[in-house]
Amino acid sequence: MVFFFCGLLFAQENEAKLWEYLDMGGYTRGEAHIPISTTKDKSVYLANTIELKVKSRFGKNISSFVAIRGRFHELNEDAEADFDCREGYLMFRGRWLDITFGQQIIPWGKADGINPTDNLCARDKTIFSSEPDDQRLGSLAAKIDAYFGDFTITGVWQPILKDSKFLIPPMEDFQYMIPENFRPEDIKIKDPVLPARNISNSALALKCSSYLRGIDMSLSYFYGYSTYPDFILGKIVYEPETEVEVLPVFNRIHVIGGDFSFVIDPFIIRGEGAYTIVKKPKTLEIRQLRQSYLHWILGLEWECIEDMVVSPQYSMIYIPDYKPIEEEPEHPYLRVAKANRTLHRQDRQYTHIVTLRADYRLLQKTLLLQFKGIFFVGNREYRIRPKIVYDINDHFQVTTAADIFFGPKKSKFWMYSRHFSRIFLELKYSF
Amino acid sequence: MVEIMERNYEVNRTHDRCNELTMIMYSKHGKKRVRKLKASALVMENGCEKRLIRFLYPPDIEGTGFLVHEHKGKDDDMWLYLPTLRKSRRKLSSNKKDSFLGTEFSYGDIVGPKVEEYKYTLKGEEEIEGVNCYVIEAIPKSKDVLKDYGYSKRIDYIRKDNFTRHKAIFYDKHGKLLKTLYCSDPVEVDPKNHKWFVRYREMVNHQNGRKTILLLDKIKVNIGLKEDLFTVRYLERGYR
Repeated sequence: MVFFFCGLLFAQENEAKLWEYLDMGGYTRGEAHIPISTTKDKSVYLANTIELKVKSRFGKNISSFVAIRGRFHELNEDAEADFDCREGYLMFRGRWLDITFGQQIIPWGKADGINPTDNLCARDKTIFSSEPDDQRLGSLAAKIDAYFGDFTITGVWQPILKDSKFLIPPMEDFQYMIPENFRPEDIKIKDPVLPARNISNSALALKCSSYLRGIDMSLSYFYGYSTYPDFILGKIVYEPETEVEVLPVFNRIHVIGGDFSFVIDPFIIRGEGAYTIVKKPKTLEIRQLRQSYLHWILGLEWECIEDMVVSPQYSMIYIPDYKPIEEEPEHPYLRVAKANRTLHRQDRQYTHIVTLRADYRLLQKTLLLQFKGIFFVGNREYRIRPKIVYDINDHFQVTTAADIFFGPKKSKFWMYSRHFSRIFLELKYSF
Repeated sequence: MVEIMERNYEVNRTHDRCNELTMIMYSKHGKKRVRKLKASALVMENGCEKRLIRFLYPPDIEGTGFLVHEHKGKDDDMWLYLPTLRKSRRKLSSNKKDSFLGTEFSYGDIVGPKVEEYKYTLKGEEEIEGVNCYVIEAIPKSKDVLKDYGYSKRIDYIRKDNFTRHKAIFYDKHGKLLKTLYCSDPVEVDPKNHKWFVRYREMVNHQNGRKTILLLDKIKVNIGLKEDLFTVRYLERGYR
């Protein structure tokens, strides 16, 4: 709103029409989510999303951008509405320096879908959508990009943590998490308490990128809170009601990473990797939190026939100093720790992942057939996301997609398959 | 003939240019789709071009951009920026025979083939709709060129008065008639250097029954575009 009125004042001052300085657009999308989970609940979830984007310019070097989203959703006759300002920032563009300040989404990483260096951008995994970008959340940040020939140095300061939201299945599926003599309904996951808003709790990130002849690459460093919390056991209360508290806690991490992409005709090779050092509070046992780990990914993109692109990737998560937890831990805090590891994919020392994306465009590129899949080799869990997108005309687009989880009992994707596998039907109007 | 083709190649290569175009795509059933884009280009000292293309319409692809750095004797560098991804990605540039954004123009048709990649034979002269043209047959010099562009032969009708292309007929790799390009409404954008642009281009695909019309709406040439406009940072930040 501030930027809008700045644009209005600027236009009036320059005796120009406001619309010469404002560019508005966005979309509205109607959605139906049909569960195909294995539990009894088959309620259809209806939603409508509206996003409005406003770009404005204040002279040659200064511009602003605002994106506001409203989601109206209904499940079992309960209707809710959420609004969020996804982005709202001012940008100064100089010849060799750009400064951006405000709420912004800053995604990093060149790999496809899995990005170990992407620590500045929180995600809300509870938002179901056929478009992965819908889960991204903006956070307040000051970003400087400085350009020196083929090199770019980027510095980011995030004063306030924007937390990511996990998709957490009902407690009845976390059987091994529940201490003996307690019931699933006794487990209460508390709302996260974000770190205090002060300088020492802010995040800093630095990246050096280059776009050279034939190869793009970058090195990056991040120091701040992980946007995803760990879950630890809090208090066990017996009166007036039994309650086992599970607390989301945020930990400081250092992440050193890099990525690259280059072409070896007919392939495009992409890779990314990062080593994450988790800073441990002294009051907790080491197994209660995520452990420091190395995560890397390597893949290629190949247009095997005209308009058909396949992109397979291999990824590995390696925990050098892995401390195992027994299968049925006796202590309640270790039961919660085991559930935490399941959510964070730290339930084994080596985790091998294979991903595949295949896109096929038809009808003058108005019809997209897409398949995405992710397979956790050791755990035998997999997720498939087929999608069909058709551009009815220059404004309307219809999408049919599915998000289906498979996994052995007690695995993360087994829990997700019971509650979150679904089919999407979407109709989108862009303006 | 090579001189004619070199003049044709140079006739629309201004030092820099920034044009707005409308692409109208017709399916074989007559269904129409419209794309609007802004295309900028800068010729470097070594004669290679840097190009930046940005979509303006329709809304769901607005902001999508392509950046190409041409190189002599090597593959070009190419990047694609997708607003939904919020990042740019390196792309392959060698597939010049692929359709340009779903149109009947290929990437090679848009960029224009390099003169040295073909052998030329002057077939004579012909008048088409009152326009006198040289008729030149172009055959790829190597299998790589045939593979890259997808044409076993091209017949060019080059206007004698201004050396712009008036018509072209393309044959697929099996020698069968594939497409015909019709051009009209040439405009002299730089009289001092005899530079011309063609405002109307229509590509008809005889094999699939589709056609695409490319209209040059706004033309600006030699406006002093800077080289840093043709960088990945501008590809990504220029949208916002």
